[in-house]
Amino acid sequence: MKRLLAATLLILLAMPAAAHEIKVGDLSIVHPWARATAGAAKNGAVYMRIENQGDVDDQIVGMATAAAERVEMHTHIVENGTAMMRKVEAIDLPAHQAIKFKPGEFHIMLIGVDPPLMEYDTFKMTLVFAKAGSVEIEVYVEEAGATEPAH
Amino acid sequence: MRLRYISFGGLAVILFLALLVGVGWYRTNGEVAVGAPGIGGPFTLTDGDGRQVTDQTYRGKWLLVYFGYTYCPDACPTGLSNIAAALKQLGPDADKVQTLLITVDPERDTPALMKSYVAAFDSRFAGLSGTPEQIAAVAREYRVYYKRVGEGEDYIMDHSVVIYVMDPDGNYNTMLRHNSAPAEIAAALKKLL
Repeated sequence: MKRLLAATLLILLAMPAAAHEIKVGDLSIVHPWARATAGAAKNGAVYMRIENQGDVDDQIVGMATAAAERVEMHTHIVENGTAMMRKVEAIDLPAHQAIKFKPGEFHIMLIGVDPPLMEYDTFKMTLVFAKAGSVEIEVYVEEAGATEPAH
Repeated sequence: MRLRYISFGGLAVILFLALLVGVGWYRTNGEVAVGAPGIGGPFTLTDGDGRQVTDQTYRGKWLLVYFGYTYCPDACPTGLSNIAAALKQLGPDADKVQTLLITVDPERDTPALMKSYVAAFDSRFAGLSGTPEQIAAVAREYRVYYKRVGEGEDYIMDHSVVIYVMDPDGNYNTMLRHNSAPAEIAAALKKLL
């Protein structure tokens, strides 16, 4: 019991550090981040975790940002050591599950990033869900070589 | 007459056995090819400053050879980020390692673009481009697959995401994966350096 209390306390204490979380309906969008633009490259990717805490399945069906000319949702398949990136129109968000957009898996591709994303920048992006509606999130830009969000 | 039938039968059996052996040899060879010596070889490419480089240019260093392209938003930055983080973990030993990103998209990836792209991950990385023929040749040497997908300016490239580890004499040593954790890559390299 004491241990449980201590654990709960620890979790509560740790919570302010996990403040970069946006809620819309039963969905939580956790730590949306992108890598800084690598040199003169024009494209980038946005990553985040989306938790569906509700009892109803939802879907992410669209997104928009002024940070790039176009945005697309992509899945990333690796077969026999070959990476194949493919555009998807929607990604399922099953009830009581979390979907990770992370390097090497799902990502939101930014095509024609302008101006280049710099570390410590933030930019706004609107996400559209089939049931929960739309929400504006703030994406944090990490260094180009980031392997996970640092904030 | 009967003898002829027998010899036909015998011939059929021999042919059948030969086919089996052939298929077996082909399959074993196919499997062994992944991770076997014979990966890598001579190449001529262009570095970020427009200078011609060859496999000989990098003798004396352990090489991490990775194929990608700068239009790539996810797989290539992920591989390069993991390598960069691994090299940080290795400390001074990392100077014995030269990372080469060879483009599979020579049409769009100019030497200058490759230079600026790889420098964003680690100043020691080299980004190499070349003519479509030079790229095809080096990809063949490394048994790397790449294929253009889509039309117009915004095409993407399917491509192998294996990271080859070549020893200071230019011989194949082992391979890593682009999504291997930095600690895993660092541990694999530490054993070698």
